Amino acid sequence: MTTHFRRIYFLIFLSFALGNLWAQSGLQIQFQPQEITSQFYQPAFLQLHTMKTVSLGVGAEYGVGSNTLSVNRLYMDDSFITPDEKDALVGQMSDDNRLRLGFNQMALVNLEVKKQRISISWRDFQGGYFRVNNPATAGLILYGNAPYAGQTVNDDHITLHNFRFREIGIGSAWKVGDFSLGLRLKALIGSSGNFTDDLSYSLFTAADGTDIELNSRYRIFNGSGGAGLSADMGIVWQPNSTLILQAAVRDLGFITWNGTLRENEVNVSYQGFDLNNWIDTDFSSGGQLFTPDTLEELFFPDSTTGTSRVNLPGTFSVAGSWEFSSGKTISASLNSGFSQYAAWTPLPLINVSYAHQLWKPLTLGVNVFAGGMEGYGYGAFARANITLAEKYNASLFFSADNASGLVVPEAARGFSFQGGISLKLLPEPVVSALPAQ
Amino acid sequence: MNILRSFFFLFITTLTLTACRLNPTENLEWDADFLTPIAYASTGITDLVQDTTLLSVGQDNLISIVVRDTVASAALKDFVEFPDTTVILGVKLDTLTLASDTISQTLTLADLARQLIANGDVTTGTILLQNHGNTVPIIPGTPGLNSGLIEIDASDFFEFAELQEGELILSIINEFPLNLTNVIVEVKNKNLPGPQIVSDTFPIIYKNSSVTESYDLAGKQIESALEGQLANLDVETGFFVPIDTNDFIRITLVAQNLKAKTATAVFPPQTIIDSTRTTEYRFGGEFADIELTKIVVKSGKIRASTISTVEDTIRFQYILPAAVNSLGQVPSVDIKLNPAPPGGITTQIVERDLGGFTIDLTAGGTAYNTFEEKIRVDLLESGKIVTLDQTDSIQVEFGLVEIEPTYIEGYIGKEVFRFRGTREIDVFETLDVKKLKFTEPSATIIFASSVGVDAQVEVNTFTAINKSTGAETPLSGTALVTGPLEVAGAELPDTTETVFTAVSFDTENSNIATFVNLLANELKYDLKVTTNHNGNPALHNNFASDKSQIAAYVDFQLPLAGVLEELILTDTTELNLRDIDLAEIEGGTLRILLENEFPLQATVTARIFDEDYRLLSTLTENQLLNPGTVDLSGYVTVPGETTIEKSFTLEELESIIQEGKYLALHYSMSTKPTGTSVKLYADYRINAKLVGQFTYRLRN
Repeated sequence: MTTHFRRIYFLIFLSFALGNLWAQSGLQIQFQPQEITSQFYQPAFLQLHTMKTVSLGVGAEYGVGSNTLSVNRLYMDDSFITPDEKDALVGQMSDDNRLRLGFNQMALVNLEVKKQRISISWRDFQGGYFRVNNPATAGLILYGNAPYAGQTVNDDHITLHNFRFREIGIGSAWKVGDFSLGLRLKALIGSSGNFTDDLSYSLFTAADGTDIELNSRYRIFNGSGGAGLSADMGIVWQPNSTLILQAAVRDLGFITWNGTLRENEVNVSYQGFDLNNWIDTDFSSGGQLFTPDTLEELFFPDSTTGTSRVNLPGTFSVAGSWEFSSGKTISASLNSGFSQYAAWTPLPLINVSYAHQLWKPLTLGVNVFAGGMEGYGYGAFARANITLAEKYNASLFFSADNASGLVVPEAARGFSFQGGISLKLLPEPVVSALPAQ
Repeated sequence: MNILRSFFFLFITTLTLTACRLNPTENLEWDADFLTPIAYASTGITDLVQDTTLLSVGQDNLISIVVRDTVASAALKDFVEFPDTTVILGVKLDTLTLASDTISQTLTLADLARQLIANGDVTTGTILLQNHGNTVPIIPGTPGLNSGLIEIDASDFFEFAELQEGELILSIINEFPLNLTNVIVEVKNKNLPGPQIVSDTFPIIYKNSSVTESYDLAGKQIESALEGQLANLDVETGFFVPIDTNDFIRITLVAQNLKAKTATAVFPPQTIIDSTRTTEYRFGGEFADIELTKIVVKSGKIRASTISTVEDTIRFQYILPAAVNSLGQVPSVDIKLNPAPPGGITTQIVERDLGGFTIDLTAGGTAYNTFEEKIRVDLLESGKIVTLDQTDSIQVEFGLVEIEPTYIEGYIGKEVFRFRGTREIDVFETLDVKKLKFTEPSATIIFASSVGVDAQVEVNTFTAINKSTGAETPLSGTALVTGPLEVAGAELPDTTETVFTAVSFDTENSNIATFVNLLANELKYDLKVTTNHNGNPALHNNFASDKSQIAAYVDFQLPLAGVLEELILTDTTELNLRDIDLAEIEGGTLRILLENEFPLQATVTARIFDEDYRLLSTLTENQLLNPGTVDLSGYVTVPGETTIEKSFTLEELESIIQEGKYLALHYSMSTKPTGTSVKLYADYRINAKLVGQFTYRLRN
């Protein structure tokens, strides 16, 4: 087996080189207006946020989800994949396999100037999405082509979106009667991105190994930097102190990436090197090993330097929460995205949460959801709220929107974490503890 | 468990706001088995001999070894050699011509009157001078008048000449009004001693009349300074004489038709020689009977060499009017020879390339081997006074030299060529076979003639020799016992035609099977070729070009049908496995899939060697290969298939991959059962495919 051929597999199946993806999170933080990072999910919470003139906070979230692979297959116990693990992984796959991971870091400062609140935000977003149809695609990577001798393995429309960007945003919110409106405008700086929606291949390995035929077509854009704009918008209706209804859209925008578009169509029939013509071959350059339209061309596709505009994976949610008893709140939300790459897809995700303020500094909650990538799941959260001095308040929030992957990794198909810290300068009179929403 | 590790890592990361990469596929390793073709090789019957031009495929796809050997050939250069036609022509100045010369002297009546006064006849002289325009009743006669010496300058024409022939014309015109009597004229060299050139007396010259006389100058010496005089002049008495003192007597000397023995002069331009000569090629020896009518010259030239002692400019012109090229040009040589220094010589050589010219050798259609040449020698006027005499000469050497034809036409003559000798035959030595017996061999002796001449061939000896065994087998057959072979030649007007005369030998009419199966490595032959055996010289219809030849080939057609024993096919090819990433290989298997399309039982040995041909690994040794299955016609329709598989440890693979340089496949094939005859077709091959299955340790 030559290195050239082995590279083919990796070239085709870049999936397992994915660095970072994004998954669903925020199911519970979107009901916590006093946590600063909730404003990334609901910009109108800036108006509901309790502070005097300034508050600030940081947060992070991480999630992974698949529609077919269980968590224990996504995260191997050991770094070496055993044959049994290969079998199990490939065995879980169907004819539509999606994987999404994401990692966000964020920081936000809220200010009130002349009774108008504004917020300045920063976010580092890393995410990825991969979709493959044929389980044999993964099988080729894990087993090699030997088990597929005598067969033709093919896959098409393999999808990959993998990128990272940073954003700086400025937002504000307004009170209109019982409604609060929020808007955040964000400038985006793309770091790196790889995109393809069209990668297909067909690989035939002769039963006796004397022939390999590869037909491949791909169109991949490799972005090395970019810039863009996006916006978050939200509306909250609070007819009374116990009921909140809200809706929000996030990440409506785009990044125009600078980079290289590589596309190629390769049809290779390879029977090995013709030893009768071997002499005088220049091996250092590939020489006569391949004709120009074969493998050599695969590694030197037509490249075009230019730009590509890629929309952000925008999402939207509609939610409501009701504090039906003091310190006891039940919430529900409908969440989805505008494209298959976005969180809370491919199925709309419905989430129901229950929060109970055990005592003033501590609130605990649980949630269950259905839909989205994983199909179902459950989670929990905890929030601690501490008054540091008369005018200062600190809170710590941690949630696992989907904790099922931690509990039953062999059955669940994802998990997520989210956490954050908020610091506030409180208005007079000092409120020692804020009720959980 | 990774999940927990990730959890705590995330938590810490979140708190520290440190960017990180949480990739579940990082640092993973797994083993994958990759099956890939590595190489293939195909060894066929065409690999039997290194020179594949020796192989021929018949319409039935049966492959044959075809050996063509040229045992004899005669080309144009063997039919004729052109001698040089150079001749030497010496030219003496025995016809040296001088320019004609005219000298006049005039004596007026006034001159006469003054001379009378000077001589004492004052009365008569005075009457003449004083009565100009008048008529004098009587002029008394006056005898014994003398003109005195008159200087005559001929230096504009020559300084000196000793004449071989010539004449001097003397004319006296009397325009006086009186008759002249007893006129004595004398002309002599001023300085040279010797007799007078002219001395003559005219009894009477009437008034207003003239007399003319010619004098032979042959043998006389003349210098440019001459003296002449009217030594005596008597004037008769005249009555009523009209006096005009301008009346005159004029004496004119014309030297003409001068040919000098020697002269110092300004010579006029004159042609010394202008002639057309006929030259004939005289072919000697074995070519004596050649009668050519045309030559097309490939190379050769007109060469003209001139030597002159003449102190004046000489021009030599040579024209070959029988030759013309495609542009219609006629070749010529033109030499302008500068004056020779006094007592010395001047030389010049000029050559004119005749390449591409066609020379007509019929001299106008009536002859052969003959052509005309025009030569001309001129003395050019230099305007200088030079001295020439009859000892001066011009020597011209001219002719056609170094002629090599591209084409000749005519009668080439009757010639006998004897081709005897031995030739090496190495075709059988290139076959590595223990036993080889051809069952359907044939041979053809082909005489190819592109020369326009017939020939008769006698095959005296044609013997195969195996030097290893010392065995000899003379070729015998019907064709050789019927007598000399008549070999036709090409015929005009098609000068590019090649006429083949073939004599075939097969197993029916000759002992060719014995001859071939001797597996000779040497051929001994003795052929006698007589050209123009039936030729008619009068027709002059032979021709030959520089591409023409009469050649004798022997073609052996050896269909690979017969009995083989241990026919060895080897294929050693360069093998580079270093492209394989050894670092990630855990182990593997090499598999050779062999297809034997020959109807022969074979064994194969496959070895891998390093660059110094040290054995690294024997993949298989003397592995039996099944023969192909033949159909009713004896053609293999189903190849015999054999798979050889060998596993290697990582260490063995390292050795092969890092050091393997050559893959040697060695096949030994034999007909089975022993002695069974088979036919080998062109598309029979043994196909070897090398496949590797390697276990890679992949990392992400």
